[in-house]
Amino acid sequence: MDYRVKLPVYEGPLDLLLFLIQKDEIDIYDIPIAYVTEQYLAYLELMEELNLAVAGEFFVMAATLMEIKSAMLLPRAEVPAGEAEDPRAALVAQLLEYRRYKGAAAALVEREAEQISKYPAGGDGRFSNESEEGESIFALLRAFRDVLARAPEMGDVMPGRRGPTLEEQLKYVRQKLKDAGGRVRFEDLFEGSRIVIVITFLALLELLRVGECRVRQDRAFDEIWIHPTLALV
Amino acid sequence: MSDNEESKSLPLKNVVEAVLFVTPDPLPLRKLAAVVGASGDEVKAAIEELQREYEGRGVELAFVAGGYRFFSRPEYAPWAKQVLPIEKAPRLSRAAVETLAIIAYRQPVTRVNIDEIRGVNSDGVLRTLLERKLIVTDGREDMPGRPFRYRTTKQFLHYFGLTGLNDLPPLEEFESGI
Repeated sequence: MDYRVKLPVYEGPLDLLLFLIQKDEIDIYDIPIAYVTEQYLAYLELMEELNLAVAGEFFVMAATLMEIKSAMLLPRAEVPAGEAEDPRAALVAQLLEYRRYKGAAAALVEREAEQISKYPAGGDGRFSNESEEGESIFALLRAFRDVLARAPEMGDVMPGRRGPTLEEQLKYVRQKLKDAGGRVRFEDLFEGSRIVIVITFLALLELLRVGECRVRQDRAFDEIWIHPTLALV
Repeated sequence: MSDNEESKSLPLKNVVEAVLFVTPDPLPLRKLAAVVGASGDEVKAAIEELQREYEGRGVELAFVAGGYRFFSRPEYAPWAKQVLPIEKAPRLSRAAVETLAIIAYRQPVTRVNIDEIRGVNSDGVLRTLLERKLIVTDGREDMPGRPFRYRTTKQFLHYFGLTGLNDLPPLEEFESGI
C-alpha cells in the first residue's frame, strides 16, 4: 500500500509555529507555551514518521520551546511582579518580525503573478542586460568547446592544405546572418573540420568586437543566439 | 536634431508613442524628453493621455523600474506567450520570495541577519537569487568574519514591476500578519 500524505511545507520552525498559533487563534502576545510546545513536538514526530527530512533548525526551536516552558514554571519570587522578563518575550518578538516579512513576501508573490504574465513590446526584447557581457563570453566559450568536441577528430585536414582565411569566414558568418534574416543559433554557424570551426569562431569574435552582431542567451545553459545588429539587416 | 522642423508639426503624443513602442528597455522620463525634444512636463502629460487612451486595450503603457514601456496586459498572457520564443524563468520558491522580502526592506543585510529572521539557513536561497540577478553583494559588514552584505538589484524591480524601492508597501502594513 502506498500512502500519500499531503502535508503543507513549512519554510522553517517559525513558519510552523505561526501556523500552530493561527490554527487555534492563539493570542500571539500570550502564547500558552505548554500547549504549543506539545503541538509542535507532535508535528515534528509526524514529519519524522513520514520520513520527511526535518531540518536541524526545527529541533533547535523544540529545545527553545521546552526551555521557555520550564522557565515559565520557575517561581520568580525575587523579582517584583511586572518587572520580571517574560520568558516568551524574545520568541514573540521573533515571531512578530517573521510574520511581517511573511506578509511582505505574500504581497510580492501577488505582484510576481501579475508581472510574469505581462510581456514587453518587442517580443523577445526582454530587459537587456549589458552588465552580463562578461558572462556571455564565458557562455560563448563553453558553447564553443561543445561544438569543438563534436567536430570530427581529423576532418579533412591534410598536409599542405590550409584552412579558410579569417576574411573568408567573416564573409561566411555575415552571409549566414543575412540568410537567416534574423538570429542564428550559435551551433548552426559551425560546420566542417576543426580548423574551419576555429577560424569561424575567430570571425564571430571579430564581428562581436566591431559590433556587427550581438550574442543573446536568456538563461544560463539556454540556447545561444547570434543577432545581427541593425546595420547588417 | 536635424529633422526638428519636420517633427514640430507632428503631435507630441504620437512621437512619444512611437518611441516607447520600439524601446528595448524601460525609458526614463528625462531620456524620453531629450529624445522627443520637449519638456518633462509636456512628455508626462502626453504619457498620461496615452495611458488613458490605452485603457481597456490589450496593451498598456506602464512605468516600471524607472522608465516607461508598453506591455501586453496580464490577462492576455495565454495568447501572448505562444508567440514568444522563450519561456520566462520559473516563479520563485516561497523561501526565495521570503528572503527577497527581507533583503528588500532591510538592505544592505548579511546572511546571518536573514537567517535570524527566517529561523533557517538561507545559503541555497541566496545562491539562487544571486544567479537570477535579483540580488547582489554590496561590500562586507565590518565585523568578525567580514560577511557579505546583500541588496536588491534593478532586475528585482523589473521582476516585480516596482517603480523603485519606495514603491514597496510599508512593512507596518503587514503588522497583523496575513
